Amino acid sequence: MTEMNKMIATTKAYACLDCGKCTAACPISRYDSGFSPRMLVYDAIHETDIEIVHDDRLWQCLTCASCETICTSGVRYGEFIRTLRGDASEQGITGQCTHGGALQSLMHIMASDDLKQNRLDWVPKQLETATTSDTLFFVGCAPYFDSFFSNLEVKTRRAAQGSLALLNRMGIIPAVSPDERCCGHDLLNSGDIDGFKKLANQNVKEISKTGAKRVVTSCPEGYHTLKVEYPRYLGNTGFEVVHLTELVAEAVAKGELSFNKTKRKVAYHDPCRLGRMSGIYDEPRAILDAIPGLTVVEMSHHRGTALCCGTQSWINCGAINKQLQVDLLKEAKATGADVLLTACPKCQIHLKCAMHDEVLGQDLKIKIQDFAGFVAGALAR
Amino acid sequence: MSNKFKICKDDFEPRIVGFVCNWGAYSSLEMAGVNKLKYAPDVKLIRLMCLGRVHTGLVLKAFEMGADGILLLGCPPGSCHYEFGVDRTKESVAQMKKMLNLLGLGSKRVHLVEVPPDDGEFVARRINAFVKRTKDLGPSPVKYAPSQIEMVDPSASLF
Repeated sequence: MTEMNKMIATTKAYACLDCGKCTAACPISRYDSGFSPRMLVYDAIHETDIEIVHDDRLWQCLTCASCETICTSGVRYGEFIRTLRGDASEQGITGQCTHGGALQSLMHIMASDDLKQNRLDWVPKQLETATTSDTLFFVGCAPYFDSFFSNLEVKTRRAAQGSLALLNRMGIIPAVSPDERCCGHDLLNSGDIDGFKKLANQNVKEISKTGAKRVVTSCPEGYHTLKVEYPRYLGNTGFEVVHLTELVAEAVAKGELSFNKTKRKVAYHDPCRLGRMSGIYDEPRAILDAIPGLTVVEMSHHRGTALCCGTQSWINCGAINKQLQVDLLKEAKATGADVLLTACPKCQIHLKCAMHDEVLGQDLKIKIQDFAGFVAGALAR
Repeated sequence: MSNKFKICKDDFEPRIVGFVCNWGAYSSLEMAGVNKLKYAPDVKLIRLMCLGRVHTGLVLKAFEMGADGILLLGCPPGSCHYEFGVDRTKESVAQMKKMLNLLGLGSKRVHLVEVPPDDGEFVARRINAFVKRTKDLGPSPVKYAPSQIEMVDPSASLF
């Protein structure tokens, strides 16, 4: 059995019934009639291996899992596209890097052993962290994002600060690693499996140094990568991964957290890694419902059908991606909400980028805030 | 241990990439050549039409590939051939320095020099000073497998 046939078998691509539901759900297919998840599966089965790895369509996929959610045959489309990208990368074919390739280089630099980063300046003085603890808070790339995207007024550090405030309030003093690396999500999803494994090994080493048995993340990409992809590529990692919203929802249900009254109206956007790929829909909503006076409205596409923020893994961003961001923001504005909440730092970056559009920008302006920062801000003193 | 460190420092030949503006700084470098001035050979010079072209992605890529320092030879304010290049460079340099500080490489590994046109002596002196500074900083801690570097598609667009 060739590698390609093996991949087609493991991702269940052979089970595709040609029904075309994936194309109806795919955000890229909505604007590009030449793109269809079904056709890509069909071509992978019928074309030669060389033809398929040279296909441009490989890099257009947003890995948003809309197709995977709707597929009646259970085709694991995300894994299918990731494996094809891995094969293409081995032959020197990559997607088009966005932001001048800076973020790819950043991830590669972070894979070095001897790096001594200065990444902890986001920790506010009034909050507590530890060097060793049972629980580790995996911060993610927020410190880097805020510095790199300062021109877009991105404030993802607040998600990290909010998460820490919530953890402290629940009586948890987490360890925070000074040399935590990027989780490797973007390298994995753009086919650089070697780079991903290097970062993953570094992170497992750094986490084991703190003695943590439980890792809490607020970034959905970090959550999915640490929880699902690390064990898949590295075997047993020796720690359990939980998302912040799971912990907070539990504390809220027990009545351990109290919030101030507010008159705000918010819409919550389900990030693909947290919603469709991890099934966490109810926890964030339960937390928001516990804030007295807060009105939570739903966008027309929410939960499993939530729109994608439009770009993935820092590759291939173009007119279609911008259009997807515009669609999401228009939907958010139509709800009449004051604030659009998202749990993912990437959503914040991409949507704020769309708001800086010279022509459409003013029509799309809505306040975007990260989920953890917003909830921490509502905590009663 | 201290002895070993000393040997390493003495033998250390820094790998430095220099991005040079075609209009101002490059003419100064040519003037240095005309006047037969000597300057440190450790800087690999890359001529560009404007330093406004250099963005954080290029600088981080150089560090990823094993550079120990980046020297940017540009123009003084008000003398940019394209008018806006100097401002663009300053914005990018601020961003680069922030990223390098976070990574722990330190902002001193990138240095922007505003070179007056046709001043060979000035540019030679500044190159020597930067080479010395990079030698003092020591080798960059970044080590990435070269096989990965070759994998990057040279035709990939930058934006």
